[in-house]
Amino acid sequence: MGMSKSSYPRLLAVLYVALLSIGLGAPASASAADDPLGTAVEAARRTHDEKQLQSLKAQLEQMIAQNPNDAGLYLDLARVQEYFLDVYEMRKDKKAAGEAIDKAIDAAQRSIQLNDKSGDAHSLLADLYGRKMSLGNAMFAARSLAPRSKRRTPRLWRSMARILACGPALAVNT
Amino acid sequence: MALDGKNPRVWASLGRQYLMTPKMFGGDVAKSIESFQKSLAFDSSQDQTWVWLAKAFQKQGDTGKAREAVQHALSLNPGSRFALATAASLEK
Repeated sequence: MGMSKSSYPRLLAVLYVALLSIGLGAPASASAADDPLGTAVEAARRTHDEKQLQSLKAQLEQMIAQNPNDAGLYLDLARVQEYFLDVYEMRKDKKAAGEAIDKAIDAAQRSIQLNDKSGDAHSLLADLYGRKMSLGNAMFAARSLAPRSKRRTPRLWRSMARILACGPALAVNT
Repeated sequence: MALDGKNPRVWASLGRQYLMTPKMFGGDVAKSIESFQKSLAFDSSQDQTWVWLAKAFQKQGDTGKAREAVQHALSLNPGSRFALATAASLEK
């Protein structure tokens, strides 16, 4: 008695999932299912390898195109863009760093729009604004934080002070 | 919405903000050290937070503790460019 051809894909899928949960040496968990590229993002953070980051970015963009309302994917993309920023800063490429930080901020903001209860996303965005200021783009950051202020930089710092005051309150389970 | 003060990333972010913000706008090196230590108490495997702790100790003028913290980071992630650059800056 042989197996019908139509059952092969299902069997392969079951085997694939089983091998993933055994072979990686980690138990299958809800968080792993929620963040399929989480391990790869962490690996890229450790190495800051540009090719690895490019590949990860492409995968994330593809997944976002398929799941445009997934806050976790945007958060991962924001982190990858932040690692690009690290690479460009170390290379002292200010133009590329400026572009990377804007993309990281966009992705983090999109993640927060989709899930405003993520402490990770809020803290990442706060970090990114801080880094944008230290990159010397304070005027641009201030404009996005305080659009009506003529004296933008002081208001930006007041916003930062509010972030400081509210920091722990932003930490919520996601 | 359930509040959770046990998110290590948020404590680390708070520490960076205390460290990087000018004193007149709320920056505070001692509070940044507290925040990094709290973050590491929740998850001591964050090599980058050990480096930030080293930077905070360095800013406070405690080079010995800064070296210890950066060595801890390097033991967790020997290839970390951030840790290596910070270690180098401590030897200058």
